Amino acid sequence: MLAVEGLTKRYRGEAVVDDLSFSATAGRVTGFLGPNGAGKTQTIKMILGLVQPTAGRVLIDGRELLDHARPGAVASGVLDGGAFHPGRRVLDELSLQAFAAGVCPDRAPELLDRVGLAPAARARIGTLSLGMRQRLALARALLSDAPLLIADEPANGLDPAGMHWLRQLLRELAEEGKTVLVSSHLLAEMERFADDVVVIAHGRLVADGPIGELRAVRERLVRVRCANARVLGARLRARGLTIVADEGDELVVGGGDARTIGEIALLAQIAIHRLVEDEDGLEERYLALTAEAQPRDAAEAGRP
Amino acid sequence: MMTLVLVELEKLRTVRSAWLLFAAGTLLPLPIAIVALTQVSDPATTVQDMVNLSAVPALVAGALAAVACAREFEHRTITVAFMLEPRRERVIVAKALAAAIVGVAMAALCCALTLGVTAVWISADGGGWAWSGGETAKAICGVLVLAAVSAIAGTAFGGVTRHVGGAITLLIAVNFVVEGLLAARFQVWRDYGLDAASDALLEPAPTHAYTFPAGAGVMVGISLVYLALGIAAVRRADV
Repeated sequence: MLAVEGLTKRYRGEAVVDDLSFSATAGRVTGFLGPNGAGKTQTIKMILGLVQPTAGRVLIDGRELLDHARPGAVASGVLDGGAFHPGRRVLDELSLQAFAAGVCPDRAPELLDRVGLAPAARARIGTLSLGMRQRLALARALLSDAPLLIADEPANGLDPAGMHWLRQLLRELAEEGKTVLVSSHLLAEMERFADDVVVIAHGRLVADGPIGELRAVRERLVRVRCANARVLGARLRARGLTIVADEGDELVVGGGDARTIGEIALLAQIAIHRLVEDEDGLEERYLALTAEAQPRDAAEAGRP
Repeated sequence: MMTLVLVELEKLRTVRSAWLLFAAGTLLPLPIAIVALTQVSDPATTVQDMVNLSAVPALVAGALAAVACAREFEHRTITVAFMLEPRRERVIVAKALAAAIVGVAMAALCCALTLGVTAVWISADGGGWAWSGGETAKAICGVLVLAAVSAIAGTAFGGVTRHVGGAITLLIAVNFVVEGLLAARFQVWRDYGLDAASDALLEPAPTHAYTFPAGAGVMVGISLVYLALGIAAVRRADV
């Protein structure tokens, strides 16, 4: 279990991470979301002890990282997908890290197989694609079998098949009982495999909880194209629904689901040509949350 | 610590640039030695010249150490090392020890080749070895000490700059420019500076301001000061 408490990082007085607190639970995948520059990587580096926080602390299983007898066996991370010596061979890199982590060297070829890199074992890392490097970085992080795995934008450079593989792998790791924290700036990607989400913007927490909760608070929007949009619009308003946008023969409706709208159209005997629940609702919610947040300094400056 | 040192040695073993520098440091003095031997004017100074030539690997060891350390920061692979061992001073000390081991091995091989060729050449010419066995052993030990301290300093410079070019520049600046300026400006530095200490290690025959152990102590001491600076820089750094 990971607990981040009041984590703050300032560079020359400017906060890049500002009093951030959240937790990630064992056996679940926690998505760490935020737009580019929100402070995700800095937060992850502070969790892994690579960046010194200005304030706050990180507890892993109730203790700070350095208080563990073998910190490397407690947390592992996938950072900077391309962080390898380009001249080293793939298998050499994993064998080296296995030795450094104090695990059986036989685990290196086993993990190469798990991440689908066994055919490239003798290749030099400099010749690998970005996607293959991401797979190798994941294999390296899995060597120590640490109970906490943190991955910073692990989907970068992966093709659709690679993304599918990554989702399955992270779910498997969570099912094995590990705490998995995965950062991304892409909500759609996270929606497919995360159990919980932590959303930050300008270094500050804007939402935290099960992804279902974030989904539940969104305003449901439905697009409906029909033979008589004017009459249907009036009927929908009469039933308390909101017409968010009127685009001639197509309406964007809020406050109801597709089923309700379909039934109202049936009662009014209006032919429906298209009826779609807006898939972007969650994304709009996410964009709204991150756009609303301001840096603390700016928020304070705006106060009377 | 032993595991960390072995890991660092393994890192050096598995990259080509380390092997290239190792080969350069070991073999480069050999053709120079052969050319020098063909043009010997004073046989009495031949052995000393060859020992001085054998000190070239000390510089290469410094460069190898600086590159190995700084490149970890440039490639950002240092994050992996620090995730496994967050006590960063241990990682840097392990790097310095590994580089020192490689530097000593390089210097030993270079000495064996260069002095071996010199011995064959001198005996073919019918000349005699100018030094006693003790003096020769002392000079070889001096070369090995210089290689080790240079490697430790190189690691420290790599940690301070975290940039390959910067580390090499610092290594050259400290060894040649700063040392040269200080020696030119201050008589006391000419007598007791780093050049005087290294002369005490490499030149067993003349009398120096330092004895051999004192010279070794000065060189080891200064390299440990550099290492402490390197550790301080790395401990504070966000990576």
